[in-house]
Amino acid sequence: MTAALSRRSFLKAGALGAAGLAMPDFVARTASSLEALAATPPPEFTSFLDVYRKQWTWDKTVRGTHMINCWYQAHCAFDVYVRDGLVFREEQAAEYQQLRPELPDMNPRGCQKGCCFSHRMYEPTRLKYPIRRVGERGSGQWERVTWEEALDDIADSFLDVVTEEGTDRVIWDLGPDINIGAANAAQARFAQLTHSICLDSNSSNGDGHRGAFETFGNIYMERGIEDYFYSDVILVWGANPVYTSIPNAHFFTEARYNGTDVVVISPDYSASAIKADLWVPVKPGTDAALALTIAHLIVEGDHVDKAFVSEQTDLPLLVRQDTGAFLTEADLDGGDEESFVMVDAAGGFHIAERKTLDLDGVEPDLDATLDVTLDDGTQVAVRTVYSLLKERLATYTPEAASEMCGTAPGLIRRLADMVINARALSNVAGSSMNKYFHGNLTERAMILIWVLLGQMGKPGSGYSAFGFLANDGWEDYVSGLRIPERMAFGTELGLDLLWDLAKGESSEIFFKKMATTNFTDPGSTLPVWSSSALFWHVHGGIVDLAEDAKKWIPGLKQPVREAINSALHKNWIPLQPAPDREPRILFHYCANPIRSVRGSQKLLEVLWPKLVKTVVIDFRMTTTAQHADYVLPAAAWYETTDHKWVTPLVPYNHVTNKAVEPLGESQNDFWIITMLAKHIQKRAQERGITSIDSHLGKEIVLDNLYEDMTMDGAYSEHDVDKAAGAILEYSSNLSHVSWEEQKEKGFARYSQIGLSPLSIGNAGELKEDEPFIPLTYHTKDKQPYPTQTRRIQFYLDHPVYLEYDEYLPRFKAPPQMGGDYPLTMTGGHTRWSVHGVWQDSRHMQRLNRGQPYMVISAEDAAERGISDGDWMRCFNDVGEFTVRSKVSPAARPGATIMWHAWENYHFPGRKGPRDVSPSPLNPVELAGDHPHLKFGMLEGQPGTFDRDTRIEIERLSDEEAARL
Amino acid sequence: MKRQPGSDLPETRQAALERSVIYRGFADAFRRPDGGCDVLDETLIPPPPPNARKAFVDAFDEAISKSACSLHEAAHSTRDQMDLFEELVRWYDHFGLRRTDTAELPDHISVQLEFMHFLTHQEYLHGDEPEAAETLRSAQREFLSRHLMPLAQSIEEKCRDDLGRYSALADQLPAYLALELERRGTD
Repeated sequence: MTAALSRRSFLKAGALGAAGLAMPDFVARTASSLEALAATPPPEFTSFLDVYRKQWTWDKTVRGTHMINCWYQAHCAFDVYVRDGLVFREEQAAEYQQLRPELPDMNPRGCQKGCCFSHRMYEPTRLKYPIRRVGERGSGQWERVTWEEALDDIADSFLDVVTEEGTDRVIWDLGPDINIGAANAAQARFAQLTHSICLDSNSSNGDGHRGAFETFGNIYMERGIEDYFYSDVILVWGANPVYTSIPNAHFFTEARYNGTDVVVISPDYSASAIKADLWVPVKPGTDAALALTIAHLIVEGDHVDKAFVSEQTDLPLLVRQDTGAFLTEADLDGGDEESFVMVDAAGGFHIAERKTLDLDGVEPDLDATLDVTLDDGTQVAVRTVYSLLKERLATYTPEAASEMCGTAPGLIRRLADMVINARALSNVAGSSMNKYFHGNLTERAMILIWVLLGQMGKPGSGYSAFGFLANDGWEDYVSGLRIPERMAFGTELGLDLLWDLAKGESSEIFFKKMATTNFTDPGSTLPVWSSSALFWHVHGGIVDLAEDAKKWIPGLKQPVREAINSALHKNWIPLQPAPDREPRILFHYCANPIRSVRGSQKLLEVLWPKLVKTVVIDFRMTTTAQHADYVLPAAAWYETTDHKWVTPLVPYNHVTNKAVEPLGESQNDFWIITMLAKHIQKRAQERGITSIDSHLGKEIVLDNLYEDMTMDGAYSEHDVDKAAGAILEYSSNLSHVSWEEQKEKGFARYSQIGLSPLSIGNAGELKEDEPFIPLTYHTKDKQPYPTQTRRIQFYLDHPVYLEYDEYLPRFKAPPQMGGDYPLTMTGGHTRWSVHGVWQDSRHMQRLNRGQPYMVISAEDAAERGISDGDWMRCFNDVGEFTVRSKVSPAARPGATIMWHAWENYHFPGRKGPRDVSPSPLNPVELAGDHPHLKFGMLEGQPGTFDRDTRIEIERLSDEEAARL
Repeated sequence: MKRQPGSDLPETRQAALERSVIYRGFADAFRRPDGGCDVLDETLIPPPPPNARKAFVDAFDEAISKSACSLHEAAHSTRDQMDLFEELVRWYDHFGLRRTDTAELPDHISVQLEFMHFLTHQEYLHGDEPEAAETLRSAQREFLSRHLMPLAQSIEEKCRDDLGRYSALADQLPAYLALELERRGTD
């Protein structure tokens, strides 16, 4: 071809008229202009080696971190090295303080994902400009558009929907990576100003710690990581920290050097089990039997800390045997219906105080069983919760439990001996248990061990559940008001809250109650929240997958659909938008539901057709983005300034600084959402739209939205840094270090737990030089718990819990989700990615097999003629998917493992494990009209479950595999 | 008749000027769906189709389109991405250039073409200075051989052939670069 061409063949006639330098990608570094540079004689050059002669230097180094929810290990400060507008590398910033000379320190913090983010952000999968769908949804047909075009079109759809159908038709699907910083504040402020709905995805992700919620009225309880050094037995139960919590894992090893025994309880011989002193294998989903047996041995051996349980728990409270309800003061003498009753050994009745746990000398009879005469003269039998519990536990002998959980009786006794004789007993929290249908029962049973032994609130001891620690200035920023001003005074809610304050309720109870109102009527200053799991089931049609649930779940009293409808009808659970109001616009922010939601195949079938617009904000093309109408390119985490929540394990606010400009046309989230408000305002003005009433009756001003959003220009789209600083300035627990100092250092230790509903449940004092110990406000200061009885509560007298025989912890055999198939499909977080972000990172792919695989035991593989690496069909009554095998002696026979977070497009046919996970909601988790069983921020909502999924697998023939 | 700029130049400088303009045209064409139309001959590189914004994505954005061919050298090379970036930044730095904040990544073909646009423009300006001209030719030869030509050849190989203008771009760039290398080989 070249023979026929010359240079001039390529030149259009007259093209030289435009001769001259035109270089949008470059500026002159060594001259005043490109023209001046070009006019300068070139530097010496003989070979490419000349370009390497100069010493490499960095233009700057800033502190950065990653705005992702890596949860229990969050977060790590990095030095980010910048040259020529590019981040070339990062390095762990090892400057965390050592709390005490004898304690291990945190340095250096960082995992392999964080250490390669500079590579990740520049990989070819990075989105660089807005795109709009031009074919059918999911067809992969896109065109590049300008921000102006995208935002105007989305704004017009928004205005059409909210004016014609209501503000609740606009939904913010919020994933786990929301940061409680400036980016997320912009989203929340937009939502509160427009009364669009925010989805709380925590329980939908299977992270709801329902058992802790049922027991403590609160899921937020986690220790400082250094506290493990003071434990002498650590139970790693429902977690795999060596695999997934890399920066924290060394604390367990160092505790072992200090004489601590680390025990791992898990179905598989996990990465953490390998590093443990004792591994206790257990069948998947049967941990409650093991826990209850230990509890039984504690009781049988008279090891119960009776003073602790009398003071802190509901075990001394009396329960009516005629109704199953707690005996109340009202029952006895017409007094308070919310006051519960204990009896002492002499037969004297005592009301359990609601404002303090202090018994003031009362010694309740834990074993009491008696008849009482009620106010109306009738006689009823009553028993203490403890006596009921003892009776229930008696059936859990090691031999009986072994039949249920598969653990050898001798090993159960050995474990129980270790636990009972531990000076300080702790656990490593994870969220595996929440992903089992009966995970709530399991967690309640596990908590029982710690509580019976009084192993709470002391160094090295205590039960950990949900880790979360956040600033408490975020809601001030979102509402534009300080806390006293946003208490919705004058409303029924405001009066109710004021009454609580007047009654002397603790700040924990007060702020938690305030948070529950976000789901019903947050007044005028906070966003409206809704349960993500409920939303997907009702509006997304996932409930359709549960039609056969009665076949899978022994003892299910009614179809799941009926249970949901009944709970909604009784107003036990709130759902916004209401079931008869179809969603129209979905914004997916830090979210990827088509990949992550169990049964997500139904969303595309049922929910997507109802949508006018679906918009994804992300820096990579997720599975959900592939099914969107618009994808808006977000800045990566070294391209913006912001801060991020953590957990009490690592109680340091972490900051990322803008090291470089966002790549291409991408923009930070704060800019994107603020600009959306600007375009809505502009289009509203152009279309003559002024204001409307929201579905809750609030006036939504559309033609002034941008001014309201920016607080009259104080925080424009360019002010993410300023907004992030303002949030910290408003915070009681982070304002002690200036924003500028926090940016420079990259982290700052929290001064206290603070008042955020996302943290206050930790209920303890955060000190400068001690590891944090949760719940000491209760155990030490005797403040009541936010439960019905104001105590740690094992007995639930709600009718649904009574109906399902779950009023006390018990073991229930795992259901067979998806049908009667021989294998259980368990799972867990992968080591090589956090959610889907690094799944196709080149560096991470080189460290694992680089594609999805299912871990199966050697026995199960041999039975089915499957070899390592074979393609397999995995199926049940709900669906099927195809994946390669990884045959491992570490896997338990009968149980498989699918590590989490592969995108749909990583599987042949775009079907993955979610296609076989029907995940019906658990009816007991729909209970409501109860003092503490109600929706709160990240807690109290129904969960979804994939770990009980039953499957069969078969090897694909070579011909079938070749066709993939 | 309007006089063409450079028409009274010595042949080598005139050639350098034309080559500089062609590089600029290719850089624009690989940067934007409708770029380079003012420079590149329409018989070789057809004008943008009506759906240019879609076709460009289909052709070249592998973040979005599964069948797209990447325009980044890192995607066509076995070298470590950051190692590659460092070498390219060193090239640009050596010749006094720094990428703008909004530029594509240093290994993007449009950035590399723009760098060649600069070197050839400089050759046009310094074509009468033998030492400078030789330095610039040597740099062009080496940059083409080490980076731009392998990248262009890989794009030609991997780009779909049913994308009109964009398939033509992928085909014609290595053809042009072959001329360039041929010329540089005889300098």
